[in-house]
Amino acid sequence: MEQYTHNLDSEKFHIQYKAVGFDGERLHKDVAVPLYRIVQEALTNAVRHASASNIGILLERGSGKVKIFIEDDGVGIDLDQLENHHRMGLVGMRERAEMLGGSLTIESSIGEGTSIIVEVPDVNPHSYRR
Amino acid sequence: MLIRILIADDHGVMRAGLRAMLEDEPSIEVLGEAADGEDVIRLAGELLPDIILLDIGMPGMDGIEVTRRLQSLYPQIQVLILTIYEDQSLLQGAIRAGASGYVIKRAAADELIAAIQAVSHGYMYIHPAITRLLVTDLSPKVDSQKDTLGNLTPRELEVMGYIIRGLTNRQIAETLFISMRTVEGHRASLFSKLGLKNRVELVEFAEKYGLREE
Repeated sequence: MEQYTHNLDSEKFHIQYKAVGFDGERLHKDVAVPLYRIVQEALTNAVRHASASNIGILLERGSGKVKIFIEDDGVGIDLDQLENHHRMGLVGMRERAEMLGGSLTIESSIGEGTSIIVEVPDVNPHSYRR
Repeated sequence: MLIRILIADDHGVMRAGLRAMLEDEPSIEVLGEAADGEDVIRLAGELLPDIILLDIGMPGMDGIEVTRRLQSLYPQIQVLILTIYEDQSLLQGAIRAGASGYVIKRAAADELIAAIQAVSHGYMYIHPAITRLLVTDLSPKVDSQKDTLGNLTPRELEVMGYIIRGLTNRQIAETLFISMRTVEGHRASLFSKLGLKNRVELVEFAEKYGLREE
């Protein structure tokens, strides 16, 4: 993920990435792959539709959960008009999150950027021992 | 006196929208439209407008290069940049290249008209939402980022704590019994006071100054 965001980082937009709570332990691929796809989709939206110039991706692991915050400083979405945004892949992102037993939240308003928050259960067995 | 304008943007819908909007304004006459940098230079020479409303992100020659060329070929023509980019280096680049104004596309119609009128009077117009980008070097420096914590209100500190703990704006609003709008306001204010752009930077800030509970 870090490599991916690093590769996308460019003059037009800047991506900041941070992972917290991993202690060198990788995510299980059943969680990692769908989350990676969600991040790809969110970045595409942020750059293509929201004209974002700065995007922050925070990946947090703890208490049996994995949480990703993808925040951009783009034009924002009018959440009341969200029905019109099916084409932007938000529905697919939400489906991926729900298939993992998690949820996807979007917070945005016009001119204030967009935050996409995905929270899914961690399938790494170590997490269940707590 | 009529202000004569050339519109330059690679998006047809944008040009049509601008033309419709500007033609409603009795003091303004739209002379023509250009869709790329070469077009702008050619039409500038043919039409000799007072002001060129110029998009930065056009294919081929970008708006800053176009501005530079116009400045050397037709220094009497004023260039007013109209762009989606709220970016310090582009803003400074445009001004250095000779632009007389910089307006962002989310500006209101009357702000664009005001910009055109200001530029036509020989003033420089920078949209108020981005003026700060031009004067950051002049703003008072704070000794340490941590000192700026003292500038936060108790409510902003509270909201900051919840953001660091991973709550969404909605969750914070529900926890504090305040509206989402209010949370967004506190959040924007505390990020701006601390000079941070997003949650990634806030978490790094929190780690650096031991604000994060492990």
